[in-house]
Amino acid sequence: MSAPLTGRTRDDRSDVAAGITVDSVSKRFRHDRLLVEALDRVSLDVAAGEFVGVIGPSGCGKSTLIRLIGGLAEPDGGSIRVGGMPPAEARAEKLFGLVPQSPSLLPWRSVLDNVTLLRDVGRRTSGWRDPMALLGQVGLAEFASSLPKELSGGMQQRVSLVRAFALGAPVLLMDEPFAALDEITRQQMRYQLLDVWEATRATVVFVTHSIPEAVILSDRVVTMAARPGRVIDVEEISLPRPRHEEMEFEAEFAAHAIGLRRALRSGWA
Amino acid sequence: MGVTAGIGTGAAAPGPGGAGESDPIDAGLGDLKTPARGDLRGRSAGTGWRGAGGVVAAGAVLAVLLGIWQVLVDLTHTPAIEIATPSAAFAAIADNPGYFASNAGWTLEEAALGFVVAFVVAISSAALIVHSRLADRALSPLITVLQVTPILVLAPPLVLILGIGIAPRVVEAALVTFVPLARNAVEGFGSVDRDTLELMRSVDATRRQIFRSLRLPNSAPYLVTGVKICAPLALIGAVISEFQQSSAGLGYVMISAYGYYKVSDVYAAVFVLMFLGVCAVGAVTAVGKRYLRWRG
Ligand SMILES: Nc1ncnc2c1ncn2[C@@H]1O[C@H](COP(=O)(O)OP(=O)(O)OP(=O)(O)O)[C@@H](O)[C@H]1O
Ligand SMILES: [Mg+2]
Repeated sequence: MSAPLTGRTRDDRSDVAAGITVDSVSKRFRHDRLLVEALDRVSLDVAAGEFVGVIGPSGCGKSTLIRLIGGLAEPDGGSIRVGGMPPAEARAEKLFGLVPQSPSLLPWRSVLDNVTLLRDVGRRTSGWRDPMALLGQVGLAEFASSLPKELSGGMQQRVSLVRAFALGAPVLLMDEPFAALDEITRQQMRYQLLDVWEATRATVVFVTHSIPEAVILSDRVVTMAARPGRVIDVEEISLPRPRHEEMEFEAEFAAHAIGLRRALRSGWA
Repeated sequence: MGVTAGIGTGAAAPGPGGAGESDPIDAGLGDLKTPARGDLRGRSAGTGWRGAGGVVAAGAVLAVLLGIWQVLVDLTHTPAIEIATPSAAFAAIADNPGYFASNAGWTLEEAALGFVVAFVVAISSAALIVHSRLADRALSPLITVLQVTPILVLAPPLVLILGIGIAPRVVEAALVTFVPLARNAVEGFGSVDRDTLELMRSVDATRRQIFRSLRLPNSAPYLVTGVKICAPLALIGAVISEFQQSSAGLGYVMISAYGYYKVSDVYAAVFVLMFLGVCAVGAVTAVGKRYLRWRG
């Protein structure tokens, strides 16, 4: 559907490279008498341009981590820096592109207007990427003037991806963007995501429940455990880039997947 | 947002955007199953034809009911002083169309003024309520108090307070329409998708931008529902107030016709009032259909 981009140069890449530093961050929630330690002294460094996958059981604080990095919530302890700034400042500097779990399209706006919404709102002046070109890249050029209700779930999710990439933001935060999709669509979306990302090389934090997805996408995969929410393993993925579907049948891929499964299981004990 | 939807206030609950869950309570003119745009079957059948068919069907039902009424009155020889036949009521209108039209104009003007006042106040208070906890705490109970106040009973004291003239009628119309409008507006501004809200916050959107590009459009179906419910209510509020004190308007026509035992004029005025209400709801429904195509 989408031919790989050719002729990439460093100039295509995001104007600002921004790394993420999460230093001993804690976050607690109180539910009546129950105190939930959503995150307990979590530390994590993401280099500029790195793609980091985050896996872990439900409730281990993955979404909380994303929200803290994005400055949408405040930690109870520890500190976070994005491009050297506190998250709230980074947010004001328009460093973030967010891909939430649901496509979150405004139903009264056309596909193209949804993609440009955040530009209109964010008043970001530079670093914009051509929305039509991106839509074309994920096979949605003809649907630019369609309404969201006229799109399938997978198509809506692709629009959500394009919306984040169109921002040209140096940091992309993705919280299980493919969770609602069927296995076959999910499979396709991985490579479309990689395709678009290769051109920008933004810094990515990608939350997922799927081990194969984490392996094929990431430079490193962080495994978390619940109660308290914490990091229990960090695995370097040695597969070369650009990644492609054939790699999923290679022994190296399988070894990484097994390693992650082991790490996840150790979190249960 | 702290306001629970009250029974009978018509607080609507459409899904968050086009996901197509539940529809707002539709007080509109029939045709609840219009096919979505893009449904080829619906498109080729032609909505115009279906619309016309609906009007014909509704008209036929109405004609049958009026016919039964007419025949019952005729057969039982009920005296004209007790009840008018539909034909007598229509004859009264035909005899003096200018009289009914000008009085209908008065009522319409009072109702429209009251409605506009209520709409502006409702929208403003709803905007305050969704943006500030303090405003929510302060205003939401007031809305509930107003909701349980028998506003129609307030018509006589309103005349005492506001004096002779158009003011008590406008205020009465505004009072009866305020609560459903405010509740629908609060619901519409407040029921935005959490992910979408965070998405806007992630690019540092201001509250004003979030209001303009998310909350306001999100409220459109709720507001349409509110207006459908309230347009006829405003007319009724104005007429009730005219009962108390007036020198023009459909309520005045009814009261003075009672005084002269011209029962057919009373029914004629009721018919005119109903006609106005139906037109108002029909107009809002048409506008809503035109602008809410994005809904699932
Ligand atoms: N806004 C909130 N208020 C109260 N508790 C919260 C809130 N957000 C998260 N929590 C709690 O924090 C813990 C971690 O939640 P979080 O949503 O981060 O998990 P997650 O790893 O994203 O789970 P999932 O995979 O199911 O999405 C949970 O126990 C949850 O109950
Ligand atoms: Mg989550």
